[in-house]
Amino acid sequence: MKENVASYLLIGLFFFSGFLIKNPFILNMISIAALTVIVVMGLNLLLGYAGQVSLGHAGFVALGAYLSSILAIKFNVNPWLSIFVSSILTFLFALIIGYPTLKLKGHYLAMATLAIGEIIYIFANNLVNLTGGHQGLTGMPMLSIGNFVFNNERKFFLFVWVVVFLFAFLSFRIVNSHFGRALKAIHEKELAALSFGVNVHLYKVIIFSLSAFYAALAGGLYAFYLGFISPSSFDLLKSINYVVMAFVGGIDSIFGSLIVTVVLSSLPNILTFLQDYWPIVNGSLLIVAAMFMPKGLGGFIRWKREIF
Amino acid sequence: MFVQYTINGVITGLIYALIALGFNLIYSTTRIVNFAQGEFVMLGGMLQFYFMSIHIPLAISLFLVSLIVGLLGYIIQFVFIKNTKNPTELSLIILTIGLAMIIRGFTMIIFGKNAYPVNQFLPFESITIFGLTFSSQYLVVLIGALILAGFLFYLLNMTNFGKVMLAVSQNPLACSIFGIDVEKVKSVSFFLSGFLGAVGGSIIAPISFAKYNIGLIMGLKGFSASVVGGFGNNVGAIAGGLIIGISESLSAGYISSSYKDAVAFFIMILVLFIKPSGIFGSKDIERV
Repeated sequence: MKENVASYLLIGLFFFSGFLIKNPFILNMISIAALTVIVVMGLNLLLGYAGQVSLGHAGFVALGAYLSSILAIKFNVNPWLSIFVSSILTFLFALIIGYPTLKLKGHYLAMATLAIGEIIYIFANNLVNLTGGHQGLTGMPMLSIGNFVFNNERKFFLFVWVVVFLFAFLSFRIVNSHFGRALKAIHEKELAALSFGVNVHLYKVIIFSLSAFYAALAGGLYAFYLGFISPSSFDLLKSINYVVMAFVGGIDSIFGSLIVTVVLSSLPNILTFLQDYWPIVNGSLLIVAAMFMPKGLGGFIRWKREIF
Repeated sequence: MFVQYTINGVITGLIYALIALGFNLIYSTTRIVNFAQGEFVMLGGMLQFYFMSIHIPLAISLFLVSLIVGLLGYIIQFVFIKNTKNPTELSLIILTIGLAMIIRGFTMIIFGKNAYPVNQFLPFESITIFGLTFSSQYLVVLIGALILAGFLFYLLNMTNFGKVMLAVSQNPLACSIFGIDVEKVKSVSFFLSGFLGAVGGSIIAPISFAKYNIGLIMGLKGFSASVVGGFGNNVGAIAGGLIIGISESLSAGYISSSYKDAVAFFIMILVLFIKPSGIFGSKDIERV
């Protein structure tokens, strides 16, 4: 089977499980997991196709969440439009950050994004007039299409898996396009890609900004779904969690990351007694993956490949 | 007030400089940016608190702290990094982040989430110079940092081991042909880096409290210092540390302490935008 078909089937399976699951707690948990999947798919593009890591993706999620909420609450912008606008703004922001940093070696982007994530976190905590500070921001209107309002867990659940499908589709389109193959070449051998006329720097900047776009859009949906956001949802550990999911799932495997993300973002809600041990679990997963399986769990699956 | 703020800044800046020197030490021999560097500082403070709380004399506790954290650094290289199957830049960044998370997680479980006060090292509370009063610990940090930096410069520039380290950073393959145990040199540089971080964390603890979660942020500030001065440049590391420390302290005093941390990161990003090789120049900046 090809990886994209398998991934679409898996997403479809999740979608239809929405009709069967009765428990709103589980529906809510898997909806949040689905939003996380979107962020991780973006991060996967960056890890797998530019060979770089961002330690501040929670910051981009926060940007999407806060910008869209502020647009909708203070300026009465339509929720869909505000999510879209804030995602575009985050894309542009990442473009500005990525342009100088991606000219340098990988650790500069990692450190710079770590810094960006912290700066956004600090501002979210302290710009009390705009963000509500650590008490959080509330009062976002519910998402609706015409008269159809996403006012319960099931409706949002079904909707968010459709969005996951769209993003998975986008990811596979990118990966299997000329652009994606050029990125793959960059990751395999940068110098070779360069001599084949690939504009390595530009491609890296675009993929980084695109991954920030994924994150911001997920953040916007998160804000309007919960109707409440606070800085603690976007702290440094969240960024690390995203990296764990993307890396353990497989840096260039969307299917692997999909499974790992749903599992890893649901488990802390089920095994609540292990709460204090999560940093250790995450750390161990990262170490094992980095030392012994650089392609992550997804690297163990042999997909049928299309020869282009 | 300006003088007071500046002096506060110099003291924290010296600690950032020590972290930055730790980054440089490891990077020069292994080409790895160690994301667990800040955890060494955190552990230094926490262990110092622990040993003092069970009444181990200062000199012995300081020795134990630096030895334990140094050995941890050694283990990180010797057990984890050396045995990594496919050591790419990305996987090593991920590996050291994983190690940082584990160190942080265990520290939290063992010591809890509190911020612990650590007693000053000297028997007197404060010193007064020109009418300004400082904690006596400032003296300890100032002298401690100068001794460490001096020791490092001596080690790198005037000893045989320093030359070996330089050689390994230039060409590890040639070194191993000449019979140098490259892995050992790398491990020792990790040991030294852990040692530096631990002493830094331990001597700053009486001023800033010891807490389990300061590691990544301390590491990031040390990295910022390193970038401002020029990554990999030891003189730059000290200058960068002082610049970050002083601007942080001035902004906390004159603007608002809530944005103090953001200032350091903002300066780093600004330097990456304008002059990524830093003030004193860096050998590391190879443009794509």
